[in-house]
Amino acid sequence: MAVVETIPGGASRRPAFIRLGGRILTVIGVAIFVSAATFFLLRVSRDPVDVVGAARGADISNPAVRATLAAELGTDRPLFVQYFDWLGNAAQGDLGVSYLRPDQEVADTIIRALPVNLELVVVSQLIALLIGIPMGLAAGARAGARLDRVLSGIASGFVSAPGFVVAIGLITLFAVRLPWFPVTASGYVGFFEDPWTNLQQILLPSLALALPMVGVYTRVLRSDVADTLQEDFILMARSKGVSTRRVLLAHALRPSSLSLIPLVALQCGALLGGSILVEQLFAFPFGLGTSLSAAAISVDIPVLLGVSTTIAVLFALVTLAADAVARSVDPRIDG
Amino acid sequence: MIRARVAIGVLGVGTLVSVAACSGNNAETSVAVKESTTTSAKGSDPAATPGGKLTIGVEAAPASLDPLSGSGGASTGAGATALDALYNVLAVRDASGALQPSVALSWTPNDALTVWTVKIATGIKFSDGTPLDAAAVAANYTFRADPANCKCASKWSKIAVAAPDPTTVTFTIAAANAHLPETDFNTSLVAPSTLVPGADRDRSPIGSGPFTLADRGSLSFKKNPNYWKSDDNGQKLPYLDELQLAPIPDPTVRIAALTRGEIDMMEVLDGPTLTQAQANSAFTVDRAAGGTTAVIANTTRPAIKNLKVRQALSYTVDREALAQSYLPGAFEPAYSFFASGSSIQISGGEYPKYDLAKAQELVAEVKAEGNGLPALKLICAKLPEAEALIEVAKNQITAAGFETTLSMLDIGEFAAQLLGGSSDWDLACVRLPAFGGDPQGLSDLLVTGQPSNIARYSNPEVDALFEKDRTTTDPAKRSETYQKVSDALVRDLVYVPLLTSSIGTVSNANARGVTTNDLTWATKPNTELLWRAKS
Repeated sequence: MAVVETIPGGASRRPAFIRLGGRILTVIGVAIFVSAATFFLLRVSRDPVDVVGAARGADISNPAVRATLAAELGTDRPLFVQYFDWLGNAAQGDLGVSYLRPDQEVADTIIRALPVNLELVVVSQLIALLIGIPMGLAAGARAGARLDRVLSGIASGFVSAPGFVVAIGLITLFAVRLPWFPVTASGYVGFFEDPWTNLQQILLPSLALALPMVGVYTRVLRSDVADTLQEDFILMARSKGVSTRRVLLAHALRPSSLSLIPLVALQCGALLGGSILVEQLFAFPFGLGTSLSAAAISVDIPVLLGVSTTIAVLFALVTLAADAVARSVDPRIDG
Repeated sequence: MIRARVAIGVLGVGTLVSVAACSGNNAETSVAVKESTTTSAKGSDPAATPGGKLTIGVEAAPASLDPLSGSGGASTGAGATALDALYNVLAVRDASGALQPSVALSWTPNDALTVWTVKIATGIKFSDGTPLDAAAVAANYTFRADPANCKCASKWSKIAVAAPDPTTVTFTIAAANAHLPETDFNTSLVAPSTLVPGADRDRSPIGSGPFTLADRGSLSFKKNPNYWKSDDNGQKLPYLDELQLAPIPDPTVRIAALTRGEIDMMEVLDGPTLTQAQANSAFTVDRAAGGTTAVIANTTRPAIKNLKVRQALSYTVDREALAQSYLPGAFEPAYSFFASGSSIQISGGEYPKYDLAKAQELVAEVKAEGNGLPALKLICAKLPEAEALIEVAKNQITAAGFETTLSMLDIGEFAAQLLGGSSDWDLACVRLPAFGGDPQGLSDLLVTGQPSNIARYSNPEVDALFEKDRTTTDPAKRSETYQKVSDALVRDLVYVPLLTSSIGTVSNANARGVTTNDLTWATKPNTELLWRAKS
């Protein structure tokens, strides 16, 4: 049975269903690896009995109390049994309950926080790309000229400005001096509940997240565009009288974006759990970063495990999507 | 609210050990026989108008709205505000800090001060329509006495509470206690229907307070239409239709939200932000003592048992340098254990000031005794502020000649070390609450064998002084007693205060009727008296 096909240029690639299957296996593998690493590292460093006992004010120096707690938490069983139990439950959507808030399902915490983070990721990426792509194209098209230096300088400023300063500056300017946006998102409402209020709440935090990425995207795209513009097919297009604007948008952007696509995917993944500063500064009532940070401080292992695995899976999915986009941009890329 | 806490760690993150600490009733010269026949709230504003909503910016959302969770009671100012909105207590404090009747109309002790008889107001109902009568009060205290129901059980198991008739509750204790109302009448009274195992008092609280919970997620409260109190003018309380707590962790953003009017008042837990707010004439600032950062010595460790070691350590601490090592204005040097707005007047009792030469002299004496200089293990909660301050403190200790290892632990491990019976530490940094309350509550921290006595401090003189204090309410005698306690603490150098901080509330022109009588939770307003100015 043929499992490869030939693509123009003589290279061969596997059929789509095999590639997809491989990708899904990769996602599953990432989930297992991240959850196992998190589980065993946490369990080696801390005994849940200490965490829960301290939270309950139990006398954990008493062996009987420790044994009772261990039995209640299930930590009196071998570590591998505990992990595979968790994995089996997780596969069915049951991520357990918080050690410190037994009435709080970890899955509920994630489901509540996820829309905020997904929205922050999507809107901030849109802003970053909407600003970064034109800046990168313009700078790349005029590489070495004054415009390039100005735009590159702005990009460097965005990258190097501390996130905290950017966020406070945006709040001061666009929420206090010019009262266009609310200062905080403490009364966060979902997009489908009230789109206008939601966008007002989400724009400033997204802008705070987007500005450093604008800098990165501009610099990466500028460099690739400058190289692409030296290619023969560009010179040919220009010799045919194609306008600079069309050359940039129709001919140079596509091949120049191959570095940008995985970078966007990486930023998306990083933002999923790494937007804690913005979550806290803009007072979002919930967020994956905040949950992760709180769980890390209190060593709430089930929450840490559930949130970090979720972020890892989402990261893998975003990478998967980025690969698909990259392949559609350049079919020579093998999957 | 009269519960005070020892927050192990620095700057109040993580409340891990609770100690009872209560405000004194200095006006009384004999054992209290309080009586009231009204249900009016004292301190109300004649200009107050009903209606509207106020939003209070707080540092963090309360972990739970269940007054039986954690160590039994609020663990943050925001939590205390929420409990104040939802529940009533037997007795409250007025603006002077004196205890005043609330659900309890009067309280009378027997001659031996071992039985307190409390008369309960009639006609009060919980928000589910059930009566808040003597049986409900007794049920609240009895339920808490069971370790299966509350970590606070050890506190209540020493008190037998009974309801001989619908308006009378008796509190029977084994040893005389003249301060029972001050220390124990601040318990949030929940509906008996929620005093069952598994009841969700966090999401579905049922109390008799001025507000009921509208939405747990957004921390919204709505007016309790059947609230039983009215103001001095007969106006039904609460004034507000709605109250909301808005968690905004960053104080700069909280100030911006207050400026913009997104919130109407806010709690501030650091000195620099209070100073910044005071510079803005549009704000009203209410500043209060915020507690004391201290170092405690583990008296079970051989090195620490040596008084000369403790004395040397005390002389190494340069509080002025410590205060300057963090944000300017955030801390003030602390030289007295009772410095933070105590209701008991103490003169003197100052801890040794920085004197490196004396410290080195004592270190030399310890070495000369032939046992060598012990290496000290200092533990502290892993928080940025603590890391900044304790590194400086460690350097000061090292300068005197001590070999010191510093372990910055996460909150859970830190609590496990201190509470879990581990003695693998010599010194620990803690934050003690502002002792504006009754110092009798400090017995949990200082009396031999008490569970919150994490230093394992034991001084028979101090034990006897606390015992003696239980039999009198005479302010002069009490001051004399606590002067002696203070002197003993300075001599023993087991609890060494380092720095004090300020906290407070800041409000804009919308928020009116802001009174923060609570001496422990100084950022907690009296929610029933809050009102919104008409714009």
